[in-house]
Amino acid sequence: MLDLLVGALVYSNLLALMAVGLSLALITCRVSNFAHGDFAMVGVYVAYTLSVVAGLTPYAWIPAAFAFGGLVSLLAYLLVFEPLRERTDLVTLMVVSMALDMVLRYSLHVYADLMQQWLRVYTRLFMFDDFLVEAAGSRLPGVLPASTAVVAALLASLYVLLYKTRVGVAMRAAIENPGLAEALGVSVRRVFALSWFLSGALAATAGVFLPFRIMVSPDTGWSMLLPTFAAVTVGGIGSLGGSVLGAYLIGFSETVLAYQLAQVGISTAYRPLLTFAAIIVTLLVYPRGLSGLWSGKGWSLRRRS
Amino acid sequence: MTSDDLLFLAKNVSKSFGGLVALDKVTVAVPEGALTLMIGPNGSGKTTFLQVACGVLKPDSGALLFAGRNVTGLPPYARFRLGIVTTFQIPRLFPSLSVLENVLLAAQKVRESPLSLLSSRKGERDLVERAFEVLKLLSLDRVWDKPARALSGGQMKLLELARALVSEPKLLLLDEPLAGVNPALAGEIMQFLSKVRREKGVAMLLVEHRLDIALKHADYVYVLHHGRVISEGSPEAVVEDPLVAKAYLGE
Ligand SMILES: Nc1ncnc2c1ncn2[C@@H]1O[C@H](COP(=O)(O)OP(=O)(O)OP(=O)(O)O)[C@@H](O)[C@H]1O
Ligand SMILES: [Mg+2]
Repeated sequence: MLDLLVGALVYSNLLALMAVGLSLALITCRVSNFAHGDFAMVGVYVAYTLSVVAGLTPYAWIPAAFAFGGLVSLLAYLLVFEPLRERTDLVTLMVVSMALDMVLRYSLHVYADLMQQWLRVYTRLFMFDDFLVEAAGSRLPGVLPASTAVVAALLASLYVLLYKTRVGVAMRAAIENPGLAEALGVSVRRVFALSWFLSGALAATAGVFLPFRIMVSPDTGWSMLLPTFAAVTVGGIGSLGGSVLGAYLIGFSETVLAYQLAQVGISTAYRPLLTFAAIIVTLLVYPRGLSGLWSGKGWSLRRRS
Repeated sequence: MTSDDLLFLAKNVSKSFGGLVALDKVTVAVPEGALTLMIGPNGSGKTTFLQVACGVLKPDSGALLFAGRNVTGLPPYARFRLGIVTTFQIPRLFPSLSVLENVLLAAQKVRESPLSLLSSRKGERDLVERAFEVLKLLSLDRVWDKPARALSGGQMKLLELARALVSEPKLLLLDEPLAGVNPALAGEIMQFLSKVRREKGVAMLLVEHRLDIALKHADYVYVLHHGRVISEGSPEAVVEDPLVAKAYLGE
């Protein structure tokens, strides 16, 4: 039972970072970014490579994963999505992001092969060694406190950035009305570039925690997409606060329901079904999602017009 | 007028929307520190001209000079940074940002690290203080933390003006700042603009229908009709020009 709880919490932490990152791409360029999972895998391979080459636990390499994942995402924005901004429709953007996913995913596959030859380690279906912490008379995996602390710190920093700094004001303005922000001296390109950097950086950070729980390969990022989209949809598309709430809702219900199914002898392979159901039910019943409940107040960024 | 005291010059600017010629070789000059008024019947091209001047619209032909520099190809934010600042006929605000944030946004020119906290660093605090001063002048200080969407129509106009002023413009392009404002407040706004011009030397190009209030503050007047300048000169001269009366009455 404790295992279940720990699993749900770690999974939700990870989803929260993923979902906030995905939302940032959505509210700036209206891209349902199918390459978002690959940013997470970039984080995995950065932390893995550095911990093999330079030693230290992968946790120590979170800042490097953050920076590198951010960089990849920034390049995706500058080279692909910025030139298309305001110039094409949502479906095209989605298809373009699928193409980008292919490019990144197969680049990761190539990298995994090279890394295997170069460092003589398994680069597919590997896991990271975790440490254990004693708490309340039981032993917990270190990824629980580590991921919780990192998520709390990153989300708090993001909040401060958006609401207490001048660039945050500019970012929110550019999201709400890019044309007007531009006319008022905001370089929309620059603040969106920052948003995209953060989008990839958050995903890559989430990625580092993944191999502490499950075996990963370059394709694992793709399978993270579904629950991430579910979290964003349930939370209310376009709301960062909603995405966080949605992540914990999806994270917990998915873990607990999959456990229940297993109890009555139904395979956990049906787990994605629950997630899909969450997306469909939200869109049918209450498309504005959780953030619709507090209707635009609080941590809700949304493009009007 | 010599060419050194000229701040802004639009030379032979033309702009068409499909077949409709909205601006036809319009030439307008705004000297340093002057209040230049642009009038004309509805649909004569005044708003289009301001949008070309601030860069929202690209002219089909013609050139725009600002402080001796060709700005024709510059995007809106670059012109804003040079000091060309616009207020729109229908206030354009960020509804979910607070009143203060709407104003602060326009103060991006101040060279401080954009990442420093608004409350911590000295430069940032000064900025907030300056924003508050402007808000106070326009009696918006009591609603500083309200989202802009909660303001009345008149307050929205004032907020847009506050945003323009805090950015320390060199040239203010004002599109009907008095429209929809009650006569007492309209008089006050006009006084206020005059004062800003006198004290800070901000040049203004004002588009306004309410001649009773605006005319006496103007140095020079341009009259647009069907996208053409049909008359220009001192307020007295323009009012007496029979072409102008015909343009207004003929519609
Ligand atoms: N974006 C646009 N697309 C097509 N036509 C336009 C556009 N903007 C303006 N027009 C047309 O150009 C002409 C000039 O319009 P403009 O808004 O500049 O007039 P105005 O002098 O500001 O009028 P008003 O006093 O009513 O504000 C009008 O005939 C208008 O219909
Ligand atoms: Mg107009």
